[in-house]
Amino acid sequence: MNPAERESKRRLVPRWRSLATTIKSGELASPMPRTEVRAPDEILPRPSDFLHRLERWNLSPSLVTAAELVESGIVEGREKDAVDAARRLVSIDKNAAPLIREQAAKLLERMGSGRDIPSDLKTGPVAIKGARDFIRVNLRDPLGWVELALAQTVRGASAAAERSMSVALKLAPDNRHVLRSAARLFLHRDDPERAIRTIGGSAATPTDPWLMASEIALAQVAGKSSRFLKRGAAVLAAGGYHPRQITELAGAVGTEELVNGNRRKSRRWFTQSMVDPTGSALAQGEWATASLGDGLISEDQLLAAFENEEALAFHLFRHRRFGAVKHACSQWALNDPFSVRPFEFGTLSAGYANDFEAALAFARRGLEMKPDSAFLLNALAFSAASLGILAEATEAVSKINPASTDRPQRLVAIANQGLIAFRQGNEGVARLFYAEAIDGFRRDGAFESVARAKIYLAREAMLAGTADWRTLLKDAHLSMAKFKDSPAISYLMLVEEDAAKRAAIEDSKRLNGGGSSKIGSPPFLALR
Amino acid sequence: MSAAARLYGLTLANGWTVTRHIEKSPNGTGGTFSESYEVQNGGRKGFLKAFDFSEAFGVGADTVYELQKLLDSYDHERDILDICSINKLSKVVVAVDHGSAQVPNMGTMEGRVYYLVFELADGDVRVQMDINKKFEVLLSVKAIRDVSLGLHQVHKQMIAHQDTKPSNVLTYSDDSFKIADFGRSSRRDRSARHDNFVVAGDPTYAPPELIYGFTHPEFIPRRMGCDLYMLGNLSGFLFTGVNMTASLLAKLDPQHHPRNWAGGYQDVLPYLQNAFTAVLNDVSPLIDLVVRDDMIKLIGELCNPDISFRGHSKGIGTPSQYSLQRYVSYLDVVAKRLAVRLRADGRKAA
Repeated sequence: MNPAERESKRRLVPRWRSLATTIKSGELASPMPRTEVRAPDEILPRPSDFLHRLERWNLSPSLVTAAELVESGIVEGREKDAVDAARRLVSIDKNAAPLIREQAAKLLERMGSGRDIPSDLKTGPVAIKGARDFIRVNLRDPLGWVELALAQTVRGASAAAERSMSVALKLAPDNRHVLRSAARLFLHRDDPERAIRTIGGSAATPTDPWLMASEIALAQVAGKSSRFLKRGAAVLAAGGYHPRQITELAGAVGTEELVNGNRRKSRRWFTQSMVDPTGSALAQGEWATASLGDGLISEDQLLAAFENEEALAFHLFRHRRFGAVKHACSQWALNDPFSVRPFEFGTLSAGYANDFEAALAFARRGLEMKPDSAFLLNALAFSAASLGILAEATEAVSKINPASTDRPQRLVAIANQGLIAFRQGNEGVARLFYAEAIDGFRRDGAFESVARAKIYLAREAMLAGTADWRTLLKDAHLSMAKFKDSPAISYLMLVEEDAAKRAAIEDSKRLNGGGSSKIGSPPFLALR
Repeated sequence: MSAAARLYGLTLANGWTVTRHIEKSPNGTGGTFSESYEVQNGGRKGFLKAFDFSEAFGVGADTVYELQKLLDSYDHERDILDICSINKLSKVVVAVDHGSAQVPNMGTMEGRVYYLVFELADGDVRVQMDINKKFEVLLSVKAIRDVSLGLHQVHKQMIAHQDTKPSNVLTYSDDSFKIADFGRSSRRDRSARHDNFVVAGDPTYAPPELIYGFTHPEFIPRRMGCDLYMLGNLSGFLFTGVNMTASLLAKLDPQHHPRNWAGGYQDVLPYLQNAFTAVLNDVSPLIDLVVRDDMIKLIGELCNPDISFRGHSKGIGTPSQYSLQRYVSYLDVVAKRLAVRLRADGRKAA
């Protein structure tokens, strides 16, 4: 049985990905609102050395005057005026020191004059150093330690990642990127309380909309009251920040209002959040669309926003285009290497699309990151068993620790034991497992899960060719009819299409005298 | 043309004949300039720095105020050089003469030029920008050693140089190096007009905290910390031809550049630290393997963007954090060890 969708409680917890991507997303701009670019004279209240260098370069162009002008242009933020000097360094002064030419080439690239860079200086594939090698030369680099922690987390060394993150927190206890990354790591380690303490205890949080947004979202995850919800709403109401700087704060406050049933207020904050959203805020908007209705996000935003993959995945999922979701999830995983969610969402969607190879691959990759995830173990058991890889499926189910697993996942695991038993030919045992799971869901009032379990039971019965598979499918259909918005409806249709094909084959066999059973029409059309 | 720009061909009172006009340079006080010349006195050659006072006579200028400002600048540099001279600071380019000259056909006030004469050097270390002219690794290490000694000597007089850039590190024929140009220096307990500027020296080579407008309230961390950074910056330059400040700022995303950053220096420091790591990783492979670890450690300590981490690792947090004493001894050892090794390698090759 495919585990239940987990995105019904999406919260705007901070994303953790590479520093370069985070910077590109605009999350790490100045903490204070600003409206104007500072003039160089404000910084350097004395006549500019740059102008003197420009004059010297104009009077006597040479390697030295060119190199000095380029450096001065970089420091004083006047790179545009140093483009000619940079051109000389890359094209004429081939005897210039390599870093001088490289620096000039990069300036030309930044100024949109990349075509002037000779081929020997074009930026080719650069060998990226490992995070540990990178910081070896400067152990005082907090963001370098965060990068190391990220690399460690991605390869599953979470304890080492915590140690690296502790160093980063000591070096920069109030830096936004350090705090948000640390909070995300602690959340990944199932310690939301520590994540809240880390963000809430920073002196920067009361004045930083990104940190306030994180604290509000983490409090939602932990089921606690946020210390910064009121202040966050006040900051939003006061205005003054660039829309990108408050997109996540508006999304977090909007989520809180939505959860509390204040749809009107929620829509107001989400509308503010969607003015210039980050990828995560966009995904939150897409998530909220299910409750607030269409119109929050424009199609242009969905397609053009930076890091839009998660939102796209949600959007495609919502429109039951499960086959396309896996592509979005693959991209999402590339951009969000720490998060296990692209793999969870990918395996779930691929399972609904009957693409069990993809579902299995997503589950395996997710488990490399979070080996004890009951959701992923269930997804792996389901997809592996569906492909007949029973040993792997059995092993996955056996790894689910009932003591630390929530009840819905435990019940899914029982259903998956039923699936494995069916594939092993133990129909009697299989039925017992399914009955236990269905009964458990029913007693919990999880009727959508009851209906889903029935679909998978019917599927297995059909594949096993049991006498009652049509009855079971009809029963599943009737149960599912109450949940027209459930993504499992699409899967039911797939099963029913399969059933129709089987019915046709059996009909043809019967007409040719091969069979005697009376086949009824599959009921899937009634739901279409 | 200002009086200071018209000295070519003149013979000055102390017997110096002005033989070549070199260039116009910005001076320490901001808004003032000086003209550079080669001069000769018998068989002796020198470098003359003439202070350009023309601005004081510009239209609308408060001439008395401007003249006072310019004279203060001249006096400040001359006084500092006197201290260096009296204390026989061996790695500092001291003035061999000073005085004033009257340019013919100009008014008494307008045509008066104040000057300083220095011993003439062979050149400066900017040759390191050219791979065909740059000098050997041993000479680079000697340059760092000599400059650190020169700065240590002036620091002991409670003077901070604040403008230790490649053009101010002069080379001599005996393979020695000296530090020149005290026009932007500061003395503890004695103020100079440029003390009020956030960046006293050339901003292209200045430490990042000053470019972001952060000034430590105390003289030693602010001004001697600046010298430490510039020494580290020079060390990087001697091996790569580029300066650390420009390399550092080039690594930043534009939103963290001083022009765009609206937060405090502490807020931007983590980004600078990360950019600094990247710069050190770029610089490292360009340093000869024989001294790479020594030099990367030195640059890493001296150029750290966080002023509280700047200085020798053994001195961080102590009263001697900004002292160059440890580096002077250390660089002496590095230079000697390198010389021995190179000699041994030469013998082996032979």
